[in-house]
Amino acid sequence: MTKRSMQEPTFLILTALAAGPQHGYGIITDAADISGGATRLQAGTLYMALDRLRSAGLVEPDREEVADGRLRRYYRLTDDGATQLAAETERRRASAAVAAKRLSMRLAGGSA
Amino acid sequence: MSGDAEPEDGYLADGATGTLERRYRRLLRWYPPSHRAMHDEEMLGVLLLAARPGQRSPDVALAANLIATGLAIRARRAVSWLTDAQDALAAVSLIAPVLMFGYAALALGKQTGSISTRSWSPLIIPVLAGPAAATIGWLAVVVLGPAGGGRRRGSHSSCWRWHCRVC
Repeated sequence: MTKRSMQEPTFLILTALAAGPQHGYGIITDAADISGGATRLQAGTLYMALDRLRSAGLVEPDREEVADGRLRRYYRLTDDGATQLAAETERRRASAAVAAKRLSMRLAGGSA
Repeated sequence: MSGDAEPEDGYLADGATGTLERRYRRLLRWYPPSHRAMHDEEMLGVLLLAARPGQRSPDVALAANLIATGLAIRARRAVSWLTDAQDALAAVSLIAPVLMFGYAALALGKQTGSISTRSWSPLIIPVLAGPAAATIGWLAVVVLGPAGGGRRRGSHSSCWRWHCRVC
């Protein structure tokens, strides 16, 4: 589980919660911002991921508020969630570094 | 189509939003009851916040996504229930033979006279209760055990085979 790379929605949700708790709609808009508009989470996808992440202990409910007569539940990242996000961030950083290096080799004339 | 173009008005359960809310609520029925009890109102809030002003019906892609994820969560709950049940059955299948053996040993001891009923009386009740519980648990293992295909760990499937050989 820990060795497998994280799916994009999971990565975006954990990243959206990294700096502080957010409610469902906040996570959706934040995930769109983080991905540069590339990923727009559907509500069903978000709540399926939250259900799984919650049972895995990576996120947990923070607090509830009522706004405009509607319930808003905030979620926060757990310590385990932060650890997994840090590991995934490092993995992605390493992959990106390799990609950047290979591309620079290509521009330099493809030296072996 | 008209009337509630302002997002603030979107929370009044009448007109377009009332229609949209009813349709979203119907879609949320695809989720398992345990999930709905906790998240229905919250999800409805998210869905309505994301809706366009004056929108009356859910987008097809969103509706399909809600149905698919609702079913996926149901499937996940069912699998975790089944594996929990298998764990319980595995425990019973380990304990049952011990209880049955104890009962058999006691019965044999009484018949041969090597065990007097009086000196063993404190043990009689739990040992006699044992076979009934053991038989019921064991039958449950026999009937329900193969349902999971013995996918998890060695303990359950080996118990299952052991019982098969015994009977």
